[in-house]
Amino acid sequence: MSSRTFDRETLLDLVVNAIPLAMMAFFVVLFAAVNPFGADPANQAIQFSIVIITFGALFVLTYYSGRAISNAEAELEEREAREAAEAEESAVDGDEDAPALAGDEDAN
Amino acid sequence: MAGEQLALTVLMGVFLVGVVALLSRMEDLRTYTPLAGGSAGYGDETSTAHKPSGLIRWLTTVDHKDIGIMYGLYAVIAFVWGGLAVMLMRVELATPAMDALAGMGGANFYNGLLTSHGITMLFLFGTPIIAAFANYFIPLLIGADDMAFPRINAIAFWILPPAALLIWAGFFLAPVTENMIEPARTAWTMYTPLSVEQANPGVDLMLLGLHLSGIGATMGAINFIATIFTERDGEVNWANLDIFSWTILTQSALILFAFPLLGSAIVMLLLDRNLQTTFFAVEGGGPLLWQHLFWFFGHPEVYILVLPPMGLVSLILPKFSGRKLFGFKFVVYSTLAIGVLSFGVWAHHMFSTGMDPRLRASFMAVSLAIAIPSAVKTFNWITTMWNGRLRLTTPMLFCIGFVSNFIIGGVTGVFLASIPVDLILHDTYYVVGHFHYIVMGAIGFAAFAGIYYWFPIFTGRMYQRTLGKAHFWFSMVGTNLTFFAMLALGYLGMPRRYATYEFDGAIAPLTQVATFHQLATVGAFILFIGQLFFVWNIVQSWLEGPKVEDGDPWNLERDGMLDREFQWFDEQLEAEEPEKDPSLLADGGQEEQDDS
Repeated sequence: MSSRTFDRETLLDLVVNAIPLAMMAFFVVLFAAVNPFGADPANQAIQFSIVIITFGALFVLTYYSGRAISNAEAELEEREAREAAEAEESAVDGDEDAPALAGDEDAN
Repeated sequence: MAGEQLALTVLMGVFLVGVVALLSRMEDLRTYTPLAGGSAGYGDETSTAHKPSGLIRWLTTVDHKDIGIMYGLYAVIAFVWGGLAVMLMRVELATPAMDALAGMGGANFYNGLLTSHGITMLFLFGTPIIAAFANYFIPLLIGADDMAFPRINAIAFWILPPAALLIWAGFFLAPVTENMIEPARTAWTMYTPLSVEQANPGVDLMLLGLHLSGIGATMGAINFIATIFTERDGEVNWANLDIFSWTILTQSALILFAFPLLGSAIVMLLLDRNLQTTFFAVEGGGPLLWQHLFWFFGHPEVYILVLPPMGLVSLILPKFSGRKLFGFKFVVYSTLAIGVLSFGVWAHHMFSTGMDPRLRASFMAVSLAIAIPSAVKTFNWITTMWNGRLRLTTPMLFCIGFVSNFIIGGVTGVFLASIPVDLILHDTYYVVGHFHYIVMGAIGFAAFAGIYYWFPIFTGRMYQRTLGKAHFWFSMVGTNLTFFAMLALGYLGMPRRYATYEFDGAIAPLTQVATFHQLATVGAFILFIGQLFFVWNIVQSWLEGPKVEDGDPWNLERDGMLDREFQWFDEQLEAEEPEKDPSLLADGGQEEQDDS
């Protein structure tokens, strides 16, 4: 996990999935600590695996989707920067039709 | 005898003449190569550069837009069927005794309607209406030429009409077979042993139809995944993929994992019914095996139905709020989270079956966790509207109605996820009210929002605004009256799935129950009237509505929110103007080239 891929912004976005992950982790600890229904290895194994497998699947998907989106964002920024540089270059060359730098207008 | 043979010969002759006439209308069929040369056109005129005209166009099309429209028409027809079925049920439930349906088969007929309503609305309306939007707009939104597999796309649709006929077969065949084949009366959950022991071939036909619709849905899902992964325009990547495509991608993944399981379970049920296997018999896997298999499919199915409508609302609501979707990536990640978590909650439908309490606790934990990503989206929609410049157009009204109904449907669902509450409310009308707030109040409303929002694109015309708003208000009032009354009925202990409720006053207050049932029936009629406005509006506006001249009918450019599909629409309008040619190029189509 490179620190550039998972920067502060990306981690903040991923917090949304950290909440259900934390909830499931809480229940795993709770089930381990409190067991009012008695010991039964088979049922307890299923009990824990339901929460732990779901936890694992969500963790893995969140990791990979976060990485894919973060890399795609970097790619977009790179592309925009390159286009802006090219536009600047052609403006310097005296091309009147050079597109203006894309200003990100705030809708509000 | 000779007369009969003569009549048959004449009939065959007329049929063959009809076939020849039909083929001759196709002009030069060989020049119509769907997408092979990318020269398939769009329009009513028959010419070598465009599609064939008339019925042949619709029977042979592999254009994603045509298939989208066919999905939409199919879904509306199914919606009418399911709606009429439930109107009959609501009339029956206005009084405690069996009276309105007494002449039509009584409680048995009611049970047939109940089954048909559920299966029709979920599999023949819900999934296809989403496929309609996805087919038409996903390629436009991601800048693809068409779906990745256009022919598979067409097959996936054409599987559906026979599926519907099989599912509804009992209703058509009962009168002609002297009730040898009757409508299935298993409810949409098809719980064993009821569904195994019901000696009615109509159940087998329904199961085969359901299996077929599942195959269609799976083929469609594979196509959407392939399209979104491989057919995106160079400028579209995971960072700027639109929210509707994200939800369709997640939904398709859920279909891929859930529907094959339903198919397998249905085959096992058919074997139990017809070949005396014991998958779900007490001496075999037991009735609970069915419930586990069914709900392992059934709960993801809920999210298969609700995720794309959430995507529609996330796409449309910001357009009329004058602001970009608040926390776009929150919505994306929470969509993915719902997709995963939906496979870990299935047994919350089975809390009262006597399963091990340890397992129940685990399913409760995951069910409570899945409420978070759903709630996150709600806050995102509200925050998007906060301080926005709201324009209360019909699609926006339906989006706001969606959020409102989804909150009630969602919160009642969180209560049901809690084991002690569920044990009291299980199998009551509370559950019916809860999920109808979602399936009608949310999914239905989002579908209407999508239809009104994109109406200018797929018809080239504008709908009638007053009728649209009347449709919304009747739907909103009707939905809340009907389904809130059901929540109250549940608290009063009214069990679901019953045709009559003449119970002892000591068990539950019969007068109050009857009053709430009557309120629900009145609400259903209000809802029904609203849908009449809808059908009238759509049909009349499609035929006679004012033509849309502007490629940006919602004035989205002002806020910098003109998406690709409206840009595409604008290009079509501009291409149309110079020579007044009504034909629009299909996606991936090429301008006519001079071969000489």
